[in-house]
Amino acid sequence: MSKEMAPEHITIRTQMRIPYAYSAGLYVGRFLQELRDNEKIYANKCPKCGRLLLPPRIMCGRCSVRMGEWIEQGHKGTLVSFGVTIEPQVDVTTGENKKVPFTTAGIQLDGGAAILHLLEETDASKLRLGMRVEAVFKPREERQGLITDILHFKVVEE
Amino acid sequence: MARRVAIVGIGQTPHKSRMPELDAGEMINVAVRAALEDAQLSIREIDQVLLSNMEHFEGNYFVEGMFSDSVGSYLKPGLKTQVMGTTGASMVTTAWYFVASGLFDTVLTVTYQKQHEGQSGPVLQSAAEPSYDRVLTGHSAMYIFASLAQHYMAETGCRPEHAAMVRVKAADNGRRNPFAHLKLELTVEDVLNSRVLVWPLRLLDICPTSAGACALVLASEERVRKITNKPVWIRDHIAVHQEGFTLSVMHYYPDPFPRETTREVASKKLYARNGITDPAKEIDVFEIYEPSTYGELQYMEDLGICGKGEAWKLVEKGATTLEGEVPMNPSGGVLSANAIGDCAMVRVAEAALQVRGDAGEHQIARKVNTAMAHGFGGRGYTTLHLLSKTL
Amino acid sequence: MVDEVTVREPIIVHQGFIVSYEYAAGEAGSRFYVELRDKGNILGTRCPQCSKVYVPPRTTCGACFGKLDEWVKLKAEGTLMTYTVVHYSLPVHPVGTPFAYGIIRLDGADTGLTHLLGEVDLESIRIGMRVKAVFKEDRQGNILDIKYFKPL
Repeated sequence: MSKEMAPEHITIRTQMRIPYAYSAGLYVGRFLQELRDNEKIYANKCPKCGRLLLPPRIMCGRCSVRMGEWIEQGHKGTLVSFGVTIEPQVDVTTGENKKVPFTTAGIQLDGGAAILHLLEETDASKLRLGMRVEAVFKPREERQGLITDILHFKVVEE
Repeated sequence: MARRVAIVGIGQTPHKSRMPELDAGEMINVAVRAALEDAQLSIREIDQVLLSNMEHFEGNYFVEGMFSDSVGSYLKPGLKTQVMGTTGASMVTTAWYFVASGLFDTVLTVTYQKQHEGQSGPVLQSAAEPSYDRVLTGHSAMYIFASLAQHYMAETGCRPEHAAMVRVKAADNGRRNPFAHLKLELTVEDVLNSRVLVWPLRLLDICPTSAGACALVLASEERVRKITNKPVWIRDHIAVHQEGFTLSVMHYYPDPFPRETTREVASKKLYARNGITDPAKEIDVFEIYEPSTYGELQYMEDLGICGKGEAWKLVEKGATTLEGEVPMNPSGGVLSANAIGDCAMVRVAEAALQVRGDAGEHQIARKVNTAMAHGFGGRGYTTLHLLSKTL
Repeated sequence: MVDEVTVREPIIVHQGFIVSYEYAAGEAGSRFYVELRDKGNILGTRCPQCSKVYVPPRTTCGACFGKLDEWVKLKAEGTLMTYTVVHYSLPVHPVGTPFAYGIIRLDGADTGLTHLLGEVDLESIRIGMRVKAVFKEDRQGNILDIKYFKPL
């Protein structure tokens, strides 16, 4: 009689659900406030190297100096990179799958700063680097002071 | 004046997709016993024990305490450093500092991961700044590697077939490495036919998620002589960090204000202070942390192994295989095993095995005196370790 | 300070961190839980070098780094080393408040086993009490297969 069976491997299943409450802070907070209240997209500028940071930050990470003036970026820009995600992925903030497909994009705004956001178009064959895009904001009553107050960027003819 | 330090013990577990039969402590213990055995040392002869991993992946807080019995840190000092994906390499550097300082003679440093115990995608998302990027549903590591790949192809004329060749080489090498996770038989067509995840990245263009542990024993020059006659000297090392362009963990592309990558900064400094003018000739083998096939090509160029736009051509003519002129990732690389917390340490371990001539079937054809290991962390952090057989 | 930057009211981003985890109980843990589930027995491992018995069992002795492969079965009763009574509620708590946790040294073990105390008047718990494990009928292979420890 065989007494030796493969030992059973026990797995303990659990879920971590932690509610965090992050302070957006003075800089990102102001940036989000401007999105929510004024439909304005801001970056700030380093007085030393001239870089524009979006969202605005207190320090230029390269120069270690305080960032300077806030500059409106406008709503339009040029597509400089994109990726269409097709595989469902879990969103850590909800524990649920993100809705797919979605297109993450890097957009060079006309004001000079680059923004990471979503595109309306999710068919990669219809997208080309260099296309002109424009921010689409959610209606005022739906805006919460989050980056998603911009719903996405849509391709525009120019 | 820093004392000279060598790697005197190397231990790894085989890397696998799942390891349900061992808990993390038992897995760590396998690597630790292997490294001690390799060094022919007992835990009593170790002055300090370092243990780290990237904790959110398993959601185990304070692993240095949770697994202290398995790692052998009883009544010993130790620190935990965690520097994004370079953690494995940073843990080698941390151990190096302790020995080089003259304060400790033998230090054990261990890193591990069991990615299947958590959900890697959402966890990685928590590396994005919360009030901006993490809210943005679209954030994902894959997108960054995909956009970098698009740009590499546009700038250099590289085609997806060349990335596929990188993957085939990784598979060939992985099959010869007993510790690699993926040991696939692949052709270029297999890679090009694998499903698209985020264009142009296909399933076989990116690394897996793995479980595994790696342990190294470092010793001071005086101790080394008593321990082994095959020390692997850590001749030099460097780490270069950078600010995130936005708050995004990896969104350093596009950068309208471009400057050199941290890889370029780090490698130029390291080569200059070691008198290396032609790394491809003067360094015999490279273990680089390539999160994707296109990444390997791009990193080869950034690290000065070849000129801009040349990497895909080297791959095309087979120069980066075990028998080639510029062997890259003989272990199979991160494409063959990605237990994220130990990846960067495995690069150092595998480079060290090459220097010792102990890599078995995945030992490169040419004689190895000098090897370089590279570590990568999201936000574009770079570590480099230069190892050599002789001082 | 940051005089030129003003925010009308602080923006707080409320956000969950929700991740599902699946831990391997491991070689020692699996054997411990399987025995608990199938036979209602509590097992430990013994270090021959240190002559100590670890419960729950481990595969490496923390003190001497020896391999632990000598398995022993322990009596499901022991002595209460210390305890506490919890009066506030957290979602992670396994039972409702007020409830008591105790550290129990099972007869033959050298380590304490943390668990719940039950069938006991919370006011009259005493260090040094003799307690015994009460097992659930329907056991799953985890530490809560023991419902609690009750006074002997």
